[in-house]
Amino acid sequence: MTIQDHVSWADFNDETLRFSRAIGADMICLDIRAMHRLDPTMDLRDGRDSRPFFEAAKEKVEAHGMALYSIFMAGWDELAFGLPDRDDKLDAWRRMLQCMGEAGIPALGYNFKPMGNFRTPSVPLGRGGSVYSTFDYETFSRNRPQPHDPPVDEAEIWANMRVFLECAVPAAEKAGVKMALHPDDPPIPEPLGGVAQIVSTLDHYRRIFAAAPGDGNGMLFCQGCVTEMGVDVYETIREMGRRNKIVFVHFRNVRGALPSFQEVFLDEGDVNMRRAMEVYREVGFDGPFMMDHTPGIPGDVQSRAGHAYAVGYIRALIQTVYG
Amino acid sequence: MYIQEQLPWDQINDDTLSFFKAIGVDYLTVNAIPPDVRQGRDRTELWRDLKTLAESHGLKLTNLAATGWDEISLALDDRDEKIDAWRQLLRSMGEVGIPTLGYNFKPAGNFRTESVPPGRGGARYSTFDYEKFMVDPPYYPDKAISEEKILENIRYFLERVIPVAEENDVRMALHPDDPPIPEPMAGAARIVSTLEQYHHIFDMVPSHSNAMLFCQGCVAEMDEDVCGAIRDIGGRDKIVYVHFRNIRGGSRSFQEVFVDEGDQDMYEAMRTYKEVGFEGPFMMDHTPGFPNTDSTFWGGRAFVVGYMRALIQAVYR
Repeated sequence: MTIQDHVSWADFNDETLRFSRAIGADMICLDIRAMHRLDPTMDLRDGRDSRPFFEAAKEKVEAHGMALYSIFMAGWDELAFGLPDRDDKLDAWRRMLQCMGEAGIPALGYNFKPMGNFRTPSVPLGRGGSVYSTFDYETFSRNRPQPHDPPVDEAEIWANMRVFLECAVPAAEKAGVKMALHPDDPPIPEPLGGVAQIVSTLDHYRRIFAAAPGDGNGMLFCQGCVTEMGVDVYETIREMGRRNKIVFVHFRNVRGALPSFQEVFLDEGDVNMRRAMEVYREVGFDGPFMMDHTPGIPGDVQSRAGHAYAVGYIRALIQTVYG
Repeated sequence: MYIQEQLPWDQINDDTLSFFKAIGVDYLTVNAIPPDVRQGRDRTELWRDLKTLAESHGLKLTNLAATGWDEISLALDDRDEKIDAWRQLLRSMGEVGIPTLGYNFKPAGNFRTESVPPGRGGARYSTFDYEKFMVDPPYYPDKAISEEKILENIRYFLERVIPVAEENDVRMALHPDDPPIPEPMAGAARIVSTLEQYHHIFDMVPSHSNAMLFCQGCVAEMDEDVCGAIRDIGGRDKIVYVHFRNIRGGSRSFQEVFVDEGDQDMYEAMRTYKEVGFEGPFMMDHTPGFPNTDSTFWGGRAFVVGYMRALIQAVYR
């Protein structure tokens, strides 16, 4: 059973990879969401041949004894909003999938939330003064961010998603890449920033899967977001796992659920993580697990302790459950 | 079920304790203690201050760790003064309410060979290879002592300190030799290298206060069946606390690897501690060294503490 560690493009260097390997990560999820901002020459939205890029990244990870299992990319605004050059971007997305497949990278994590995530101040602080990513609907409602103009309703963004899925999922299948859609965060099925959120409920996922059937259309099972939805986490693992929709897991824990929650350390949240792990096993999920976020530990530069703590915890649970 | 973690006395501060608390540490051990304790300096006030500081972070100060002093293990001229200093240490612990004292009895110290091969991610594993060690074995003339003499010395020591430990509700936890090879190394006989030697030491001065720091790594290095040893020592209620670490190899050649990748099934070990009624604490002892030393402090500790917490929750909850 494998563990995947999250490495963002800015930290994608030998030192980080050595660290991930030392704490026992088997695979890397390379997060390139910020890549084009850090290096404007590296924008895959232009539809370039990105195979050399993916091959080089894979080689770099493999040199450290790990596999490059997934790429993480935000769903592009042109696609979510249906902007005039959408067709170019659809082509670019297909090209990206094809290049990933040729390079032998089997999964693409992504999201479809042009307004991003929403959080409120991290109160109260957590263990040892740690900063917990926090959302409280009432606090949020008292001080909402400037909404997108013009507003985008559910019908409009759903129509855009359907176009995207119908185009991208067959390309993913052809390329041998599984697309893994991350939930909205917080997963509230209303327009938080003027744009409707359409990846916020299990019904949303069922609709998404129905729109473009196939293994290329999967879920990044962020267990934290699923917990935040207030649904039965164990039953949800069962449902999504049995349908073979879980591409990989963000194994994290939460205290509370909507309308108010905090992302806490793995060992102190509301979900019994061992029981969750048992259900993944029961439905035949064979990895990888990854830690996603860690609370911010004071003084912990680059979240090394946070990564190590979570990976150690996940490894022990894997050994007790999967053997 | 509790997790303990250690710091030298002069590195215990708000920053390090916040970190411990964040990763879910419950108990603090002071290792090393100030050297002047050996000169008989009363450190009651320091323990009290450290205890208050630990408590302000939601941690308990439960343990001190001291190296067995040469004057005692080698029976040097001022042995009795040092035994008085040890008794003073025990009384100061009783005064403040620190219930356990880790120690060892190995005047020649530990022995290691070159750290090869490197481990996961280039990590440095503490390594011992008997054959390499014997190519040019060290000899420390000032530490030379026979088995008979050092056994006599530990008896002399225990007879004088264990009653004071009892009076002060302190359990003394004897750490194994490392490597635990029951033959003279560097000229000094080794008498804490087998379980049989432990039983002999327990029988010398029978007491709840005369017990073991169960270094699971060293026990594995003895070529003992670890779970059998947990049953043996734990079944007699002689485990004060556990160094929960893992190795690859055996007595003649081993590496201290990461806790999840050694020969020992740590889940089975944790279940065995519970089976014998052991109620903690567990601590990580060493971590392999990361190429980036900051990562050793932060990442090394956090990794093991996370691992232990998950096993504890799987077994004890």
